Order: sequence, then C-alpha cells, then structure tokens
Amino acid sequence: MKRHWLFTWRGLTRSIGVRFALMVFLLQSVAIVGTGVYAERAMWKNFQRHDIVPVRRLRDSVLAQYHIAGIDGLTAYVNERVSAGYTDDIVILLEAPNGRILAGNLSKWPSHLLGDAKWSTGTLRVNGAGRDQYMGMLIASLEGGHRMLIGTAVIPQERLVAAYLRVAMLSIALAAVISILIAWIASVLIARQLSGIVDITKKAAEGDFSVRLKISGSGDRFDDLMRWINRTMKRLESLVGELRLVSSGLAHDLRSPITRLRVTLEHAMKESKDPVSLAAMYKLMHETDTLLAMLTMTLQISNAQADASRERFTQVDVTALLRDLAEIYGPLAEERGFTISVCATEGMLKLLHRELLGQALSNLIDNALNYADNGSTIILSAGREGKAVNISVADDGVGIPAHRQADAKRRYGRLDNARQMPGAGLGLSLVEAVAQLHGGNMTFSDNAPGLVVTMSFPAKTI
Amino acid sequence: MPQKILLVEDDEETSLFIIDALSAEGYSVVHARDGGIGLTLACESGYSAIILDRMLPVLDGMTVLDRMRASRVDTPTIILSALGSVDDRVEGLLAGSQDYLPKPFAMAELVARVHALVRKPTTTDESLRHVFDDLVLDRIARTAERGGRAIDLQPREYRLLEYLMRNVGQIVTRKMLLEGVWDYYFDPGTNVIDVHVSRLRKKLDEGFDVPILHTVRGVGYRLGEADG
Repeated sequence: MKRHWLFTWRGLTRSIGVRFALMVFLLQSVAIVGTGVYAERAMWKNFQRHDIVPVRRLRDSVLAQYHIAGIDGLTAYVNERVSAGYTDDIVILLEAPNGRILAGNLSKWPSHLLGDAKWSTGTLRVNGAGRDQYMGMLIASLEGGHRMLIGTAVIPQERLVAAYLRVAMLSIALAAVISILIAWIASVLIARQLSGIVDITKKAAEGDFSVRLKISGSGDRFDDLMRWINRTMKRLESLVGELRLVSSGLAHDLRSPITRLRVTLEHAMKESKDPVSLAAMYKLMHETDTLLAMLTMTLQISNAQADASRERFTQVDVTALLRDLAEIYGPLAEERGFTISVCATEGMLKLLHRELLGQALSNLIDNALNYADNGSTIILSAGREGKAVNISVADDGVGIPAHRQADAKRRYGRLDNARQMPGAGLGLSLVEAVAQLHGGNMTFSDNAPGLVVTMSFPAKTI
Repeated sequence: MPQKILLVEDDEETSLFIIDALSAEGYSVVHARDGGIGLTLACESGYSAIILDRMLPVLDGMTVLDRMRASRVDTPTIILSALGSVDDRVEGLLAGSQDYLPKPFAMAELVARVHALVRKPTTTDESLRHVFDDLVLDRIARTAERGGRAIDLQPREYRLLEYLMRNVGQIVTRKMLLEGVWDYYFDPGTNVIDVHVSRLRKKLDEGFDVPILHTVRGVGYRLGEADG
C-alpha cells in the first residue's frame, strides 16, 4: 500500500506546508540565535563593568597603602582591616613569593587562580563566614614576587547566562511551534484558494469545461490566477464546443443526402433487371451502409464526449456482458479461426453506460478479428486492479508496434494492414471516448505476442 | 382496404421518401407536419401504426407520445430520432413507444419495422406452438422439428428461430434480430448476425429441397415462402 505523503521523506520534503514551516523555523532560529549571541555578549560586558569597577576601587584604595608603606605597611593594613572585621562580602589575601600567607581572610590561595588572571570569579568561603560566596576577584602582582587577591561578592553571571540560555532554548522551541502553526494556517489558506483550481482543472481533464471559479475580488495574485483560469476554460469550452458542433453538425448534414442516396438505390434495385447494374448497385449499397455506420459512430462519439450520456448509466453486469459478446461473436470468430473466451469474476456489477460500453467492446473484438493476423485467441477480461476496474480485449496476433500506437488511436487514423479492410478508423476513438465518459482511459499494452486494449475505469466512480 | 399509417415528421424530404416507400408496400400514409396536428390525428381511430419524429414544431415527439398514452391511445408507435444516441431509445421506450429508430436509417429498416409493428397478432403468436409449413416450434419443450425430424438447436438458435417464426413471412433486419434476440442496441459491425443465421439455416434447410430461411439482399432475412 502507498504511504501517505506525511510518512515519506520525499513527500515531506516536497510538501509546501512543511517547506514553509521549515523556512519560518530556520529564520526564527537564526534571529533568536543572533540576538541571543549579541545579548549574551552585552550582558557579559555589562556584568563585568558593573562588578569590576567596585573591586578595582577597593584594590586601588588598598594598594595606596602599599605605595605609601611598602609590603610591610600593606600587611599591617590588611591585618588591621581583617581583624577590624571585613564583611563576608569581601575577600582579601596577601601572599609572599614563597607561598606564605602574609595577611587576609582566606586560609590559602585558591588553586584555580593563576597570578596573571585579570578578573576571575569563583565560589569561596572567607574565614569566619557562615557560607560560601560567589566572588569576583582581581589579582595584583607586587614587587618582589608578592601578590594580592582582592574581590567582592558579585551576582553569579554564569547562572544568569545559563538562565538566559534556557530562555533562548525555550524561545526556539516556541518558534518551532509557532512556525508549524503559521505553516499550517498558510497551508490551509493556500489550500482553500487552490482547491477550487484543482477541482476545475480536474473537471476540465474529464472533459467538463463549464465550471468557473468564484473570484474573491481581493485583487491579489490568486485572483489573477483564477481570472486567467476562467478565461482559459471559457476559451476551451468554446473551442471544444465548436469542434463537436463541426463534427456532429457534419454528420447531421450528411445524414439526409446519404439516406436519400440509399432510398434512391433501393428504388433503382427494385426496377433494375440487369445483373451487372444490380451487382454494382449492391456494391454501392454496401458502401452507403458503411457511410451510414460511420455517421452513426461519429454521432455516438460526439454524444459520449458531450457527457450527455452520463445520465444513462445503469448497473451493468460486466461479466454477463462479456459472455454475451463472446456468444454473439463466437460463430464469426470460429469461422475466422479464433476462439473467444471470457476471464472475469462473477457478479461484477458496475455503474456504466451499457450500450456504449457494449459498442466499444464490440469495436475491440471486431478489430481483433480483422487485424490480429496470425492470432487464434481473443480473451475478454474484467477485474479490479488497485483503484481501477479494467476491462480489456486481448489477442495473440501481430500487435501494434509502440511507435504506431498513437496513429491507431487517432480519429480516422488507420494502420497499413487496415487500409484494405472496410471501416473508418473510428472504432478506437469511440472506445477512448467511452472510457473517458466513465472518467477512465484507454491504453495499449503488449500481449507478447499480440495486443491488449484496456479500458481502465476509476473503481470509486463506477 | 390498405392499412393506415400516421407519419408525424416536419422534414419534407424525409417525409416524401417515407411516404413513397410505405405506399410502395401498400400502406396508406397520412402526413402531419407538426406535433399539434400529429396529436389530433393520432387520437382519431383507424391507424395501424404511428411514425413519430422526436424533434417537431409546436409539440415535440415525446410530448405527443405522453399525451397520446395519457388519452389511452395505444396505437403502436415507432420513434425516429435525429440525435442518433442509444439514450434517446431508452427514453422513447420508457415513454411508451414500441420501437425506436435512430437517424440516419435505411428505408428498408423502417419498412421492416413498420411491417413488424402493424402485424396483427395471429392466434399462434402467443400460443404454445409456432407452425409454418412443415416447421414446428414447441415453446414449452423449447424444441423445433421440420418434416417430423427434430432439429438440434443451441439456446440462442432457438430464440433466433422463435423470433423469425413470430415474424413469419416478414423481412427482419440484422438490427431487429440483434435487438429482439440479444437485447443489444449497438452495431456489431461485421457480419456477426449473418453467421448466426447461416448456422441456423444450415440446420433448418439441410436435407430439404425447399429452403425456408431466405436472405433479402441489402436488408435482412425472411422466414417463409421462397418468393416472399
């Protein structure tokens, strides 16, 4: 079974809605990441400026003692300040070149702080404090290898940045949801605009050009598109109408003179006693009947194409119809060295135009009997294949080479071996018109050897 | 007294040909040129059959037929239609016509159908046996014999013979056989029916000096005397 487009990669990547959602999501993500990176940088700068300045001031005020009284003076000053009771919010440590602590409220130099770090942060507990503190610190290198660590408690920026990152991630997730929503709404809006267009072109493909799209009047490109589709349909309708009128009009106009011709011939045949004239008149009569049959067939094709015949669809037992045809043609087939057999499941009741379908099948059997040179078997079959109901006539004759098949389908088109036979090249045109009347199509395939002509109808409509 | 046929047809030329052909067959033809006059005339008694065109001025053929049947005029009617579609046949038959002939038609076809239409049902028509000369058809046993000798018939051959015997002495066309015996209203093209008839003929006439089933060239077949 074919999977829904939503469940195939190809289907997904080709869906306008999914592409649109992806595009919106990507753009939103780029915007969020871009502004995020910028905001994070700005935040860092801001934090640092905010935290460093007071520490720098503190450092400078402490270093002022160093500049006045040297390392001993500084040691005394720090000792004095610590014993006077710094708050828990300030860290200060003075270290000798040999690593000995000279003064300060830390018992040892924090291992992660190197001498050359300009600004560092970390969690510390100063002596006498009840809890750890997040500190922002500066290191000052003093003469003779002494160094000093000084800092104050700061707000832990990492956590803020982490929180900020969480917000950013959330925004991206939200962006994904929003883009899916936008894509869905856009798809629905576009689909609503397109469904009319799809319907009308589908109808046109089935031969109905009479439907028009409703123009919303918004003046957008969809309106333009619909307006042009309407104009195209109108033009097609008039062209096809003219074409049908010409062919059926011609058939109608020819009807009377040919009928008169036949009646006159009938009269003449009654009066004539001369066997030579009589033989000629029989031949004429035969040609007249061929002409009449052609006219009838042309009118039938026009009718089938005009869709008027749809009203006459009835439940047809396709299998019974095929059996009847095999029975009607049986004796003639036998005379021509063929056997006709039927291959169809019982009780295939389908909504079809019985007479036109019968005529179409009759044309196909006729073709097989006349043109399937070297053939000996004709198989009439009907059955369901997937979403289609196929009715076909297969022979085991010489077949039609692929490059001649289009010629065979053309109205009045006749292949070389048919030119010697009576007929008008209308048979297959009718078959095609009948298939199309039922929303289906006619196809040729190779029976290896021979030809299979299949009328394929959509199962859900027949 | 010749049998009277009412022809309701507005096309002058077609009318002339039909009148000519039917007169030659011994019918007396009354001609109405529109549906209104046609309906008035149809309601008079004395017509053996009515030939009614579908497209007529004043009242179209289908309306004429509807009103006729509503007024309990049940003269057998054959509808002529220029539309040439099997759909019109269905519509015509539903409206109560006995037969339907799409234009263009062969005049012989119309004449044969008029013959079949006006033929008075004989006593044997609905009876259990059809008899013609030495040919007997038993409709209960569905068997046939000629000159006391049983003829072995396939079911379809039996129905073909039955149709021919119901129209004994009359010309029946290939189309009439296809419609009457197979209930199909399309043109099978090649001589499909001829083969069926010639098989039947072989069974009927084999071993007898006098042929009973004749081909009428250019028209169809006739079961009956040699000279018709």
